[in-house]
Amino acid sequence: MMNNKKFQDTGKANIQPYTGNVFRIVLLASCLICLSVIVTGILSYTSIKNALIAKSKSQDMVFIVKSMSERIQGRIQRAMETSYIIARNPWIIKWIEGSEQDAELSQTVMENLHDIATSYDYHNTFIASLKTQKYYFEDNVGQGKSTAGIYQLSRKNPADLWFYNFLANPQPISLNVNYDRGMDDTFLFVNALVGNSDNPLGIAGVGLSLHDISAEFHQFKVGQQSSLWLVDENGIIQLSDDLNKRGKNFGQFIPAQVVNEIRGNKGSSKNAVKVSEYTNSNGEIIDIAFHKLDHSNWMLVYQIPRAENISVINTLRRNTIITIALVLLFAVTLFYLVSRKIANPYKQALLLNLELEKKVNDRTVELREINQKVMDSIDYAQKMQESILPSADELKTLFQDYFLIWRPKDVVGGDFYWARQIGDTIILAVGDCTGHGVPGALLTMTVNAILFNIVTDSCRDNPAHMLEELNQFLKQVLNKDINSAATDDGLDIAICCIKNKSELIYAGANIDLHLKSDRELKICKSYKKGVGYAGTIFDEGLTNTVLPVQAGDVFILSSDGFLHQNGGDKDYPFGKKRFYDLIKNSSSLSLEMMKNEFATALQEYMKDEPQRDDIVVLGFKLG
Amino acid sequence: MEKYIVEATKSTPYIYLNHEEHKLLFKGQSFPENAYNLYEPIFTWIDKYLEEVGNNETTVEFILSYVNTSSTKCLILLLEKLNQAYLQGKKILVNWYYDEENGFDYEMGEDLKEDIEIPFNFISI
Repeated sequence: MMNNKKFQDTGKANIQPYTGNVFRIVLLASCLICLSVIVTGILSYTSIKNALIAKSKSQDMVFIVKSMSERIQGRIQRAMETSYIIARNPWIIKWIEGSEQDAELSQTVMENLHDIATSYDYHNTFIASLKTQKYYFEDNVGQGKSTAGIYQLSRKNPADLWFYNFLANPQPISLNVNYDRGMDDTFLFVNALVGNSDNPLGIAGVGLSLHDISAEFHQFKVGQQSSLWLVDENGIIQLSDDLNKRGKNFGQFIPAQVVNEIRGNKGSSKNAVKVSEYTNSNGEIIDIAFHKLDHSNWMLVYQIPRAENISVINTLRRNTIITIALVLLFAVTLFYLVSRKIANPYKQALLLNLELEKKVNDRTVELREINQKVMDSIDYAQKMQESILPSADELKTLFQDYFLIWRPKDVVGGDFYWARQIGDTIILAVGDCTGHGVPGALLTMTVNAILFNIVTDSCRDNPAHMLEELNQFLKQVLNKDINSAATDDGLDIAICCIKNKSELIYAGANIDLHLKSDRELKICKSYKKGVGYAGTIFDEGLTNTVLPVQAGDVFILSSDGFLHQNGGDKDYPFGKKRFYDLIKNSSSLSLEMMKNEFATALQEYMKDEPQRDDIVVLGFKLG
Repeated sequence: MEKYIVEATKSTPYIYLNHEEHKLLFKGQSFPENAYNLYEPIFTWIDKYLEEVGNNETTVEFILSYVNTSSTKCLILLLEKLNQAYLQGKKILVNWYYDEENGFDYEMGEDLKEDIEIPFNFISI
């Protein structure tokens, strides 16, 4: 069972690289899935981010600025219209022209101012007369009430400079931000010219509280970090959501390059909202949008940090990461499960394979045991076969010199040699029984016994007769069913009777006798039929050949095994011609040398080809 | 009747028996452990073929570089069958191919030729 253990070890060793491979494949596939999901996530995140930025810059910011500016413009427009209405009121013009002396007109005008101040969301209505240098006003104090008052304007009062500046360069309408002493607040005043530029009579208009508009700014703007400013033609922030920045130059808060860009935008078409961006000192990207208001050189500026502007992107990023993580987890888990399910059948097949191989191995061991028994049996058969073959010592006593090549194809074989000395006669036979291996060997035993009988009972000097006897005996013993071609067995054989070592009588059935005298080769042809076959009937063609023995003559008998051995370039049999040349050219001084030459010639011819048939070659010298 | 074709192995020849071409071909070497198993179906085929061959001339081609003893016996049986048919008037021709370098095949052909009357051509490869 040693082999089993060894085998199982090998099996485990086989599983290891297999599972290793599966693990590697799963790992590789997981990495690929991760990579593709991450890349997809990053790409979609980036593209959405870019789309959001583009949308924000081209739509959202533009929309905010535009609607804001429209709202402010609407407010200012309304104030301007109201200012025009006051300034073009013929009663007021008449009243101013009359140096505000007409008491009836005075009452009407003041009622008018009071009505406007309390009925609409202005904080102030006023009329300033050039002639009298008087400033009439109604301040809205809330809850439908107003307070009226009159100031005497003076060039010496810096707070009144706006009046003199306006009249120095009269325009139909202008905007002015100023501090109102009476209300202790900063106002946006809309000043409309009463009269015309050639004949200015005074200024009338309304005031809007910047505080309120700032509050409105605050409501309107988007984002905590954003800023919304109304900047005048000098770059002063007139309105801001953050009151602290009011009155300061907006160049303090944004880079000069952007300031220039905004300033350069003044002349552009009125509805165009420009969008730009810059990086502040903290490294944040700030998106900035600006729009020039109608009727003035004021600019509405809106800026917001990119991070806040597209703050939804943070949610998007977080969601993307969560999605990627979930998809990865899901995909990898799924893949792992699937690959295990796929891998399992393979594993099972492998285990099944191992089991089958184990069975095969068990069978192999069984077979080996059976084979061992058979081989033991054949090995013993070999001993028996060898025991009936003449020993080397026996052969030495029979011949002056001899050589023997006996090589069964398997352990035992059908080729044999046989010798017996009775008196001064040596009877020698070389035979080749049908087949080889055990069947051949069985036949050699039978032939051995029959030959023994023949030489004991009858002739010793007539090999042809011995062949006939052998033929008849064998037929009786072997081929009782003469109709069966499949079991038609027999043998080729040559028999020599040697008398006094001076005369050799030969008869052969399919085995020729070769006689080598020096370099001469004489061949005694055999009868062309085997012995013992169902159809073999010897006729007068079977005769003895009597050869006188010359000193140095070498007699050689060979079964067809040597001649039929395949080899050479074309895988042809060794053949007779080569065999004859071998005999002719071999040295006959020592038959040991001759044996070596035969063996070498055969080996060189067959090379690695297996032996095809049993081989027996017997060469001998008698004197 | 069907063609009988057996591919060659190390120890058995390529066998091609075609009743339509009236051709029997043996090519290679023949030394199986049990030659009778190899040739028995061929004998059966030939018996059937000879019944159907009619007046057509049959060509039997042997290109055999080695034949062992038991295969030789089978070839003798095969040729005996053909010889009987030939003697009964069937037209049969044997072409025996041999290689002069071999020596075995020509001699084998000569041995086989001895016992039959069928025209037997030796053709050198």
